[in-house]
Amino acid sequence: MAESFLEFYEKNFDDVYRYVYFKIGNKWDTDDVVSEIFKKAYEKYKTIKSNPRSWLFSIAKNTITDHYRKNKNVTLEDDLSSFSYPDIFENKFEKEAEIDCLKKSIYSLPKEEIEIINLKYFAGMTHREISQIVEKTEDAVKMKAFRIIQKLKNLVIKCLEG
Amino acid sequence: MDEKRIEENLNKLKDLIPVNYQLKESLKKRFKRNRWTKIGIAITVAAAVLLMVFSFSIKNLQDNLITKVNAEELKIINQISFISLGKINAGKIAEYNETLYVPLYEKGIYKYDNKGFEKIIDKPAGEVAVSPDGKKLVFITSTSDGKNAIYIKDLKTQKETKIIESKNRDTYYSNPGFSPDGNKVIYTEQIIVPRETHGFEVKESNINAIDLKSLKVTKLADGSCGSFVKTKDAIVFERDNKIIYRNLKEGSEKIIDEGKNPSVSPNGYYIAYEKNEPQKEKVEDINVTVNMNNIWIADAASFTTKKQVTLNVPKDIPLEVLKEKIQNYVTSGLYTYFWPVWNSDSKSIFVLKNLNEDIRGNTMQLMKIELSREELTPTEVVKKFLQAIIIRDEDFARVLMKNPPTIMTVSSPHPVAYEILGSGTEEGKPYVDASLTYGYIMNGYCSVSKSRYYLSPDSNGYIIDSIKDLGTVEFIEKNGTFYKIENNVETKLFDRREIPKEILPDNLNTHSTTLIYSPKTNTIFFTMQTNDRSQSKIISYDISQRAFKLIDSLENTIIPDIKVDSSGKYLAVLAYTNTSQQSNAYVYNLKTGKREDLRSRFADTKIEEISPQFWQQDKLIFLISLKEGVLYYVYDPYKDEVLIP
Repeated sequence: MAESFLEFYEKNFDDVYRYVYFKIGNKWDTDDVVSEIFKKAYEKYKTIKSNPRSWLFSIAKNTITDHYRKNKNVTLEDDLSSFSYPDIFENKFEKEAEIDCLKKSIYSLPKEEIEIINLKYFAGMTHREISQIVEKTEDAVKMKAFRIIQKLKNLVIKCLEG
Repeated sequence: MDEKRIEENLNKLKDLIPVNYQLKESLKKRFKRNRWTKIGIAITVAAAVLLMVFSFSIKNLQDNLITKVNAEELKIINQISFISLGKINAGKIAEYNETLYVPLYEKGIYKYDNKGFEKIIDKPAGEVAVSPDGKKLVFITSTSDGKNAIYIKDLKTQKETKIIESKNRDTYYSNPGFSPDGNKVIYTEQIIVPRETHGFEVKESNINAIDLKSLKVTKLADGSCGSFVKTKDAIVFERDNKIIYRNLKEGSEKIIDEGKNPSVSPNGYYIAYEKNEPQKEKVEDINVTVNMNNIWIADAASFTTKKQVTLNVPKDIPLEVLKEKIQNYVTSGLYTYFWPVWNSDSKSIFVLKNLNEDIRGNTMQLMKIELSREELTPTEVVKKFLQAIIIRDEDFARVLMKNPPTIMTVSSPHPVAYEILGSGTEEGKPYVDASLTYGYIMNGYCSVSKSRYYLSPDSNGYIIDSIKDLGTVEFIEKNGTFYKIENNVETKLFDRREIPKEILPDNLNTHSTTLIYSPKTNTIFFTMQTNDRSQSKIISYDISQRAFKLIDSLENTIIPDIKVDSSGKYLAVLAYTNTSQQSNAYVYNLKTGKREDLRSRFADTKIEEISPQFWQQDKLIFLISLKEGVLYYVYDPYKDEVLIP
C-alpha cells in the first residue's frame, strides 16, 4: 500500500468520527468506538489490497454493531429521538427552521436511507465507496441517493409549511 | 427550495457534528509510539504510567465505624483513584472484604486482591455482584446462541450455575444483586430492540427477583437498577430518571430524588446515585449551561437528607466559542462519575470516573470515596490534599480548597513524595507546614518545596484557605558534579572524582541517571551507570557528614528512577534488566541493606511492567501493568506486606 497508515488515519479520522457520532449520538461512546475502529484498522492495514476506505467503513459498521451488543443496557431514551448534538448548535441555528426541519425529516426516513445520508454527506463517501459497503451497484446507490434528496426536499417543504 | 439547497443544508449539518480532535491527536501518538524501539517502550510506559493517577486509603480510621447518621452528616474523608482503566474496559464492579471483582466484558471477570489480578470467570460479563457473605457471585453473560443469562458462581467450589436464560436475543438482563439474606437475586429484565441507525428502543423494563432455591421469578416493579433494602421489605430503583423507594408490602412508592443507577449500602442506611444538574453561569457574555454530573448519597430509610459527595468542575470553554461570540453554550463537567457501588462495610463507595478530555491518554479510572462521621483534622486535610496533587485527583484536591485555582495539574517535573513538617496556629488560624518533592525520570534533578497551608473550619472539617511558599531547594547533577541550589545560590556538593574508587563502577566511563533527596536525613541518593550499561551503582551521600555509601551494585541494569520515603529509611528503585528488558521494583532497607523484590510477590500474575510511583509517607505506592490494564498496590516496608489500595 502506497499510503502509510498514519497518512490514511489523518485523512479518514474526521469522516469516521462523524459517521460514528451520528449513529451513536454521544461523544463518550463515539470516542470508544472510534478508537476501537482505528485499532483494528491499524492491526490489519498492511493486508489490505484495495479500497481501504470502504474497508475502513465496514470495520466501523461492525464495530458499532458490536458496541450495541456489548452495551445493551446503556440505553438513553434521549438518544433515540433527538440528534444528540450539544445544544450549542441548536442555539446557533435556532432561527434556521430549515435546518431544523431537515433534521426532523432525516429521522423520519427508513434506516437504510439514513445510513446512505450518513455515509454520503457526513462521512463524505463517494457513490462507489458506498456501493461496496451496502453491497449494491454504484448506479443503484447514485439513484437511491438522488431519490432520498428528493424525498427530503418534499419533507422539508411540508415541515416548513407546518 | 430545491435539491441543491437540501444538499447545502446537509453539508451544514455535517459541520455540526463535532469531531474530537484531542482524541485524534492522542490516538495518532499511540500509533506512532508502536514503532519505537523496545527499551523505548519500556521506559515510556514507566514514564507514562507516572502520569496516571493513584491513591489509597488511610488505615488509621479503622475504629471509625459508621453508625447510623443522616447522609448529610457524613464527611468525605478521602477520594482515591486507583485503577487506571485506559487499557481495561471494565464494567460494574463488586467488592467484598478488600477483594474487588472486576468484569472486563469479553475477557471475563477478574479478582483483584493483594496477591494480584487473576481471572476467575471465563465468560464475557459486564456486571458482577457479590453475596452478603462474600461466598457467591452473580453475573450476567450471553450464551453461545446470543441469548442472555444470569449465573451464580460459588467461590468455594468454583461451580457456575445458570439460574435463568432469556427467551430470545432481545431480552436483556442487567444490574444483578443479592437480597440481604442471600436467598434471592434481583435484576432488571429489558426487552430492547436496537435500531440499526441510531440507538435502541426499550420496549419493556421490569425489576424481577428470582428465588435461588425454587428459581421462581417475581416481578417487583416497572423500572431498572433495583436493590433490596436491608431489614425492610422494600426496594430502591430507577424509573424515568428518578430514584424511587418502593414498599413491597403496601406497593407504595416514594420519589427520593432525580438520578440514575442507585445503589443501596449493604447496611441498608444509604443510597448512592448519579445525578445530573444543569448549572448556569455567565462567561464573557456567553450564557454557559454546564450539565454537571455528580455522585450523591441519600438516606434509604428516612429520606430526610441528601449530600453531594463528588465535586465536578466545568470543562474549559474552547477558544473558538469565545471568539465566535456565541450567546449560548452548553457543555459538560470535566468528569463523569458513574455506577456507584458500595463496599461491603458500607463505609466507602466505588465509582467509575471518566475524564472528559482526552489529554492524558488514560481517562477512565476506578475511584473510591471514603465516608466517615469524623471530621478531618487540619493535618489530615493537608495530607489528603498533597496525595490528590501527586496522583492528580484534581476533583478531590478542589474539594479541600476554599478558592481552587482553575489549573491545578503539575507536569514535569512531577511530585513524587510529600512530608508533613509541623503544624500550629498563627493569630488563631490553624496551619500545617509540608514539603513536596519533585523529580524527573532519567534525569539528575530533584527539588523540595516547602509550603505553609492555612485552614479554616468547614462543614467537612477543615478547608485550605491559602498556601504560602516557604522556599525551594533544588539538587542537580551536571557532568558528574552535584550541586545544591537554594535562593538562587548554587553550592557545589561534590564531583565524581570525590566518590571513593571502590564505590564507583569498574569501568570509569560512567554517568548519573537519577537523583533524589531526603530532607529528613539530609542525604541525596543517586546512581552511577557505565555508558555500556554493564553496571549500575546506587550510592548515597550524607551532606552533613560528607560521607558516601554504596547501597547496591547491579549488573546489566538500567535505573531510570529512585524514590526515598519520608523517613529516609527506605529507598524504592525501578530497575530494567538490560538483557531481558524486564522491569523490577526493589525496596531497600537503608539500615540493613536488605533488598525486597516486589515483582516476586505476584507469582501467579503475568506482569508486563512494575514500577514504584510515590511514597505516601512510609508506604510505597507502586503499580503493575498487565495485558488487561494498570493496577495499583501499596507496599508497607515496616510490615513487609503488599496491600490493595
